[in-house]
Amino acid sequence: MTWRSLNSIMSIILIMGGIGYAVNLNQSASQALLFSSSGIGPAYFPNILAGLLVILSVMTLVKNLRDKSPKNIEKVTTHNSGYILVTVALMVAFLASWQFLGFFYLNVFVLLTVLMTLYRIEFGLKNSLLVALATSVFTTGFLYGLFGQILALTF
Amino acid sequence: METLFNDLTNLFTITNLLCILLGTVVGMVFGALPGLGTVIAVALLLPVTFTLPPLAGILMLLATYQAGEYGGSISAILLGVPGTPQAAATVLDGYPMAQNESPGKALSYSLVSSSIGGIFGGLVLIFVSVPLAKFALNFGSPEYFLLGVIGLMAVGLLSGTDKIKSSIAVILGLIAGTVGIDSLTGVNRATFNQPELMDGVNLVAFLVGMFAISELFMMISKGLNNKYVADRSTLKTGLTWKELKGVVKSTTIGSLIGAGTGILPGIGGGASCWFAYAVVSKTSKDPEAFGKGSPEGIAAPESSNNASAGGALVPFLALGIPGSAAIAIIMGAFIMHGIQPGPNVFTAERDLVYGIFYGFILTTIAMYLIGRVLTPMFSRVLVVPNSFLVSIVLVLCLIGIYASKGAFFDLWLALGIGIVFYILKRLNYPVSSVIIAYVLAPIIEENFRRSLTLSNGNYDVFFSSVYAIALVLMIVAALAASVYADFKKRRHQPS
Repeated sequence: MTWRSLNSIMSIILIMGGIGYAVNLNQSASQALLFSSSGIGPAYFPNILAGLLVILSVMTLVKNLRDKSPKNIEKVTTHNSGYILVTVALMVAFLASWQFLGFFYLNVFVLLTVLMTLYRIEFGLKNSLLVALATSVFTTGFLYGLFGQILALTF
Repeated sequence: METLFNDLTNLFTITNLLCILLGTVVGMVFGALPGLGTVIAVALLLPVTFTLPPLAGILMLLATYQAGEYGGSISAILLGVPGTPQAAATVLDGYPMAQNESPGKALSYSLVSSSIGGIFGGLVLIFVSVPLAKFALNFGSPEYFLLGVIGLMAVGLLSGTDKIKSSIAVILGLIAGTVGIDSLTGVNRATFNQPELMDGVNLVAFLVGMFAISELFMMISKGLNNKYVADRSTLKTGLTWKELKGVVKSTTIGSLIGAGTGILPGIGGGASCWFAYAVVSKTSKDPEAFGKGSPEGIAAPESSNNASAGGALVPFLALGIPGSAAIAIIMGAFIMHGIQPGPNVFTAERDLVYGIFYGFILTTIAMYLIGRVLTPMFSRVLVVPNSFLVSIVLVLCLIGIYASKGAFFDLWLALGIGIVFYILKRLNYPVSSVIIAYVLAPIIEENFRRSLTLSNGNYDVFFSSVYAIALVLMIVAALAASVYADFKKRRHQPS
């Protein structure tokens, strides 16, 4: 994907977001005018913002499509994109597991171990797993002591 | 003079002092770590302030802010990689001095000038904010709305090269600030049938997603196991009287520039350190030494970025306008405690305001003392690879978000915000504008609607007083200057 495509997709998402926001706003605040004799109800200011967002996003989209500079048609490169995707996937799994199963500290321990093992995989699986296990035990213990015992927070 | 003589017994409590200590240590560590920085440190500590008295919580965040400014120079000097954008100018002379002379000496110049700059910024805060707040009492709703617009424009126009993207960032922040129950009518707005959004977008989830989670993705893409090598052999900090005398002029200039630019919303420490560096290098008796390890080249930017922290608190406390992302987060702590910064806070929360005045000076002293003792230890943190930092900070982010409200919805929201803002950052949308607009949104909207309701929808209300007209003229002048600068830049660009 080129920078131009990514920029265009983001502009379109912003335009759709602006329209979606305005539609939802005007549905939920349909009684807005009841609260205002001058027409300046709760939807007045947000509608201006939604309009401005759509206009500005269209401007960016047009500007971007007209930009034929070499940099704009360059391919988007993201170093370690696989790691970013794995991190997002692990966060989703962690949040789902914590929300539906509980066991916060166990989940933290597993998340830390898996993340650190993956991030350090270039040092070999055995080495990275051992280092990750040791660091995760220490970190989870520290978090439990600080948040669970001293601050008495329940997760 | 009444500012000088105020009861300080509220300030010197064990809780406040411990909070300053904790904030200083966290700020210095996060400031020193390239990629993390002050804003993330302040955002991560924000949920902790829930459980603290307002003054203790705010002082902790201010201590983090102050210490982060110095912390950024540790990696700038030892690694040649600025820990924060505000320490970028320090690399030019700090790193060569560390290489050629002594890292400890370079750090000493940074610490001493940062501390002098911080004290100067604190004095500016004490002496300028009270008169400014008294003056601001003349303002009504139209003036407050216009003031908010000026704050947004300053941030929007100065924070990015692409004005349209900067404006979109500002609008996104304002939109996020309008979600939830309308405070004037009680009507639900854009909550998408999510009860968790009725109180608005959770500030902590918004901040942590926008700054911390997106930044962690950035750190992953920059490399997970990059090993920094820092010379830690001579890290003892300390300056002789003669060495100190040699940087008095540059520290004074840096402090003046820092405090002055800090007061102007949107400029902040990042620009002020370069400005101070440029002025001092031009007025120095030894301009050839700049870029090769000149002590003045370290003292000017470092005093400037710490002085700008105090300066930035002036419009924030006196007018309720945050000038930078870190100050916007600190404003979040005020809001979470039900306190609205602005001229009325000087009478409504007198003890808190004076506690902040003198507490700010105290945070600078703490930064100096802890910096002297613990700088060698903080420099060890620099060699921790991103593979450990990213994992641990990620978990801390999630704990912070959950601790703020105990809602899983906020965790999912923060993850979504983190992903979106990672892409927006890659596309050069200035993220700091979003948070400033977010915290200013209620002020701007309420005063906008109140003005128009009082005038029955007539926009003439924004020209109804001398102050309002002056503010409108300032907006027009800023817009004209920005358009002119763009026009000039385009003319000089090769076609």
